[in-house]
Parts: sequence; structure tokens; C-alpha cells
Amino acid sequence: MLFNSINFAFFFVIVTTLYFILPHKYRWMLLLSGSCYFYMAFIPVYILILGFTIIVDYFAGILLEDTEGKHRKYWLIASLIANIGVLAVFKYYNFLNENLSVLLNSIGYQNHTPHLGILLPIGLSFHTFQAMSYTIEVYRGKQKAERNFGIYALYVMFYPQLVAGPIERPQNLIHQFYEKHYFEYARVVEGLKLMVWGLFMKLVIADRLAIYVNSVYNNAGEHSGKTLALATVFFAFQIYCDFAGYSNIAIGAAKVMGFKLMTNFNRPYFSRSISEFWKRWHISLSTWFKDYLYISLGGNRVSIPRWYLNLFLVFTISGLWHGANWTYIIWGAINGFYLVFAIVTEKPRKQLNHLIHLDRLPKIHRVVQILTTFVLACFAWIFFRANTVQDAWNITLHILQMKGSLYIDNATIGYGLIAIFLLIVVEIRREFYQHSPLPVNSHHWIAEHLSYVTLVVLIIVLGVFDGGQFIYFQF
Amino acid sequence: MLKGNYYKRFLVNLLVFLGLLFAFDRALGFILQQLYFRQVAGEYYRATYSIDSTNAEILIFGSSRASHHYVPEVLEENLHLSTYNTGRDGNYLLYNYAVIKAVTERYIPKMIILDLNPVALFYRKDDYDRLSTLLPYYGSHPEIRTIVGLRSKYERFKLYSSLYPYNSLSLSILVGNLEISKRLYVSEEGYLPFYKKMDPISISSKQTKDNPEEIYSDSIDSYKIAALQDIAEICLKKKIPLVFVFSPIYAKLNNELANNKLNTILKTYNVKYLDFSEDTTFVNHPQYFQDESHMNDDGARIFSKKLAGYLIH
Repeated sequence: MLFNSINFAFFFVIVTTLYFILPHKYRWMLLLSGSCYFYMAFIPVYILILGFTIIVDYFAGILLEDTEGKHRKYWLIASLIANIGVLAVFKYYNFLNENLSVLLNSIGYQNHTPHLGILLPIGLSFHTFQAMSYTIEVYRGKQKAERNFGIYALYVMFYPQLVAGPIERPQNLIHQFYEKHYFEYARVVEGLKLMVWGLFMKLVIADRLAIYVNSVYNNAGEHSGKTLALATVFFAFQIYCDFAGYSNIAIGAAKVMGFKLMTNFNRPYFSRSISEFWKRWHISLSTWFKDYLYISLGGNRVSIPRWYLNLFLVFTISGLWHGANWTYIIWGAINGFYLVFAIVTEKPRKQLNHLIHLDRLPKIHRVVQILTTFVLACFAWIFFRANTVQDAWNITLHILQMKGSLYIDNATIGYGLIAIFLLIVVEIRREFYQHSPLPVNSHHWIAEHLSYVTLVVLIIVLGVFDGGQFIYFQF
Repeated sequence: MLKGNYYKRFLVNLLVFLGLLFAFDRALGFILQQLYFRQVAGEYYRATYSIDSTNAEILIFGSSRASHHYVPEVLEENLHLSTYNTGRDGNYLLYNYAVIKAVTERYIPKMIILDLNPVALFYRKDDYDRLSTLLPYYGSHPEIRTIVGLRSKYERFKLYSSLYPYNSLSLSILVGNLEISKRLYVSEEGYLPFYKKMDPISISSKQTKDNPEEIYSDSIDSYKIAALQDIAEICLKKKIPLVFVFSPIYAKLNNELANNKLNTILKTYNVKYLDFSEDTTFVNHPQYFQDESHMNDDGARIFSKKLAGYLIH
């Protein structure tokens, strides 16, 4: 069930209404059954996979808490193997198998391991990582094992963030299922406003730009450098609005019912460096990798070469998390390289800025930094979006040459630019003047109503209603 | 504040919000409706003219392969019957079905020519999405409502909004209202000429990749078959001669299943079918084509003359 579907609108209204009608002690049951229904609306049988990881991690959590000594580690390892095993089978098996075939063929051997004809369960990487964070936190002693199976299952399956995050931590979410949430006007309205803004980002911006991006990137060889450059910039906005739009709807839907999910995006394209970009982009995943992988590898409390290696490894693995394709791995590696390069060149860059007096012009310096970071992010996005690595190289070369004429799709470019302009206006206001997650915040009752009516009208007039699912669902 | 008061406050504000939304929707919807139907050129103008105004004796229906292939001027010269080309880029059988239904409610043309490539009988989700082009006519043409309803089960609920029919159309509507659009969208009785000649090398490399199974789904669309049958029945009932034409194509996608389905309908309703897809005047003559599916103006004029010759007989 997609957030941008009428089915979801009905589902949300029914579940939320029942949520506030039911006595507190029954609410988790409603949310759990609603979440099961929500997930089964995609491919029903895949709930069994989710059920498997939930059962394993539920008992692993209890055993981790009830066991002492080194045996605790075994339970953690067992849980991690189960979770990563599910990911390996459903997400990475065919990729590894295909690469093994290429490798064996190159040395004259045949790989007879069969190809698995299975579809990737929606949001597998998200709920697997959320489940893993539970067992790791219980192991670290920062979270008590959840004894109520239903509540634990709900922690993994809570429908607003089940298929594309934010990837929650047990300390933030589990206790909220025990708290009684009242119908508070301001909170409910803020949640609904976030949902409307999320829908605007998805339907008006992301899905509109997707029309141009898909037609160009799916026939990359037939387009000029200018067209590919425009499509890449459009993709930067598309993926942001697609994913941040989803996150806003998820956070908003949870907020209406009284749940506070973690912030997932913080206007990433205003970042002044790639390091800052990753503190503002997909925050729940970045912090997951930081908390559970980067720090476990030693973080920056190791030798300098090892620190660089840690950074590079974490980002390359983060690329692999996104998808079983070399394009994602290279995208991750490019970001890892950016970070290492930024650390290595920090001093000379400062000297250069001093030399050209950029450090004396802080506003211009900031604009230059923001634009540079955006260009670097766009370059990496080429690999994320391209269908193959070869395509990505060709696209990069074409963009550098900048030859040929621009492919004009009047309506898509026109609506796309209007939508991007509106986004930038809202984001500038939120970044520099009013730090609120909402696009409009007015104290005037009627102005507030009118602004959100305008937003809904813009969705109806400019939105793309046949756009399809969210990009991050496939991960 | 007490919980009950929160509910009350929420409901009051929700009602105000919905009231404002309703008012905006109606007001802006009305403005867009007025502007939509006042366009002076462009594809939306052509659609409105086809549905609401044309009185041509011969009507041509089809997708871009109709709008760019049939030259009314040539047909008129040879057949001495007024002709209008209602073909619309990217809109296939279901759209044509709706327009035929709407037009034949209004008047009875002397002949209907439907350009039809049999592989278009396969199911394609896009064909349903593109029925959105009919949304502005939903209110004024009850006969097309069931066809528009094929878009989704919620379509009729969405159409309670006055703005929804004009979704993604506002820029085109604005341009369509400007006099300059008459120069931008040159059409001769609905015919949209192409003047480029295709590059056969790029096409031949692409041709080898394309096959019907990759482009279309694996099942014949029962709604499209029903639409075709209904078109034949309407014409039979209203005594309108109906001709199916497969206009020339550079890269033909053959499919036996689609051909068989079409043949059954042709036999059942005794419909004439003129197949130019293997006509040697056009096969392997890239100079008559703009791309693999569309003829240029040179090709279209030769084809139209040839078609007129067949129709005379």
C-alpha cells in the first residue's frame, strides 16, 4: 500500500480513528494488525520472512538479557547471522552468484549455482536494520529486552516506518507503545501538515522530475551531455523529494497518533561539505552505520590510515545496503572517497581560501561550499541512478563534453522547474529563517488554513498521480 | 484544554479547511474549464474540436500514427468528402473508442477510418493512464464515463474535484489560449505533418532489439477487444462504413495472437481491413519516414493518395 494512494488515505483515516477510540491497552493490537495488513497489501507471503526475523530477534533479545558471560555474544551473533542471512538470500544471493559466474568464466570455469527467481521483499533492508539495532542495543545493555511479543513485533512492523524508515532505535520507539497518547490538537494538525508537505514533495516534485529523468537515463546513449546534466540535477531533487517526502508522510502519520519518529532529512542540499551532507541526508541510516559499524571498527580512534579505511569501508557498505548492484557500491565508495579526500586536503583548502580571500567573504564562501557539495553529490548520483556502471561512465563523459542539444519536454521541464523553485523557497525559509519541519508556519489562523489549502490545490493541479512507488521501497 | 474540546476544535477547523478547499477547487476548476475550452490551437483544442465541433464526412481515428499519416486535404481532393483527422499522439484504442462514442452521439459521419496496429491490442498500463486526456469531457459527455472509469476504481470519486480533470494541464491550457499557439501547433484539419527524414542506420540497430513481447505485456487486453467490438457495433447500428487501416510502418512488430483476434472481429462484423504494413512502396524506403513508427509528410501524402484510391473502389 503506497502512501500516495487512495487506499492508504482510507487505511490511515480508519486506523487513526480507531486508535483514538480504543482504550489504551488495545491500541498496540490495532497498530500491529493494521501494520500486518499494510505490509501484506504488497506481497502477502513475504510477511513470513518478517515473521521469521521478528521471532528470532525477540527470543535473541530475551536470551541476551537472561544470559551472562561470553554466551551473550553467541546469541547476538546468532541473531545477526539470521538477519544478515535473510538479506543475503533475498537481496544479495543473485548478485553474488552473477559475479561469481563472471569471475569463474574469466578463469575458464562454469558456475552451475542456480539463479533464484524471487522478488525482493519491500523494505527488507529497513526493517532488518531496525531489528538488528534492537539486538545490538540489548547486547550493549542500553535497551531492556522486550518481553511482550506483540510490542516487539510492532517495533519492527510499525506501519509508518516499516518499508522505508526512518530506521528507528529501540530506545526511541518501544517505550512509546506503552505511553498513552491523547488526541492533542496541535500535534495532530502538525502531523497532518507534514503529511501534506510529504505528498507535495512526492507527487509534485519527485514524480514530475522522474518523467524526465527516466526517459533520459533509460536511454542514456541517445542523449546529449546537456540533457544528461539536466537529468542528473533533476534526479538530485527527485530522489531527495521522493525519500524526504516519504519520511515526512511517515513521521507525520506517526505524529498524528502521538509517536515521535526520528528526523531523517535536514535540508541536505544546504550542506557545506559532504561530511555535513551525510549528517543531513538519511540521518537514520547514517547514524545506524556510525553507531553500529563505524564505531565498532574503531571510528577515528585508530591510526590515520585505518581511520581513512574505516570511512571508506562504511560508505562502500552503505552503498551495498542500497542495492545489489555495482552502481550502488561505487556510489558509496565515491562518497567514502569524498570524505577521506576532504580530511586529507583540509589544510591546503584552507590555505587556498585564504589566498583568494574567500575566508573574508563568509556569505560567498558559504554559497561556493554549498554549490560545490551539490555538484559532488550530483556526480555520485549519476552512479546511483544509472542502470549499469558502463552507463554511468558514459553519462559522466558526455556531461563533461557538454555537446549536443537539450532534449526539451516542455511540460515536464516547465512543471519541474516550478516545483523545484517552490521547494527552494520553502527550504531557504526553513534553513535561514524559521527552523521548523513544516513548509508554512503562520500564527494567523486564516493564513495558516489558506496556505495549506493552496498546497493541496497545487498537489491536485500539478501532481503526478500515475507516478508509482517510492524509490527507497526497493531497498 | 480538555480532550473533548480538542476533538471539537479539530472538527471545526477541519470543516473550515474542507470548505475553503471546496471553494478554491470550484473557483479555480471553473476558471481552468473556461480556459480549457477556449483554446485556439494545440492538442487539447484538437480533442475538443473532434469531440464537440467537427462535422466532417470522413473521420480518422488513431494515435500518432493517425495524426501524422492521414492528410485530410489529399483525401478530400480524391474522395470529395470533407475529412478531419482526430488522431492523437500517445492515445490509442480506448481513447479512440471514447471519441467515436462521443462523436456518433452528436452526428453520423459518412465514414470512420480507424488506424490500428494489431499489437496495440495487448494490455499496456500506459493506455489506461493516458485516458486522463478525456477527464475534461467527463462532465459533459456521459457516454464516455465508463471508459474514463477504467483508469482506476476511484476515478469517479476523484472527479468530484473540479480541478482534477485539469491536472498537469495548466501550462498547456495557458499556451493554448495564446494566439501564438496557432503558429506553434500547425495542423491541417487535424493532420500534423512531420518533415524530417529518418536515419536508417540508427533504426536498424534498434529494430533488432525490439520485439512485441518486450514492449507489450503477454496478454491481449479484453477491454480493448470489447472496445473494438463496440466500435464495430456502433457503426453497424448507425450504418457508418467502418474501415480499419494498418498504415505503413518501418519497423513492424508481428504478433499472431493479436492478428487472430483482429481477424475474428473483422469477420464477425464484416469490417474492411486495409493492411499497408508490408506495402512495397514504403517498406525499406526510409525517405518516407520520420522514425521507425511514423511517416513524414512525403510518405503521408503518398499513403493518403493510395488510401483514397482503395476507398474509392
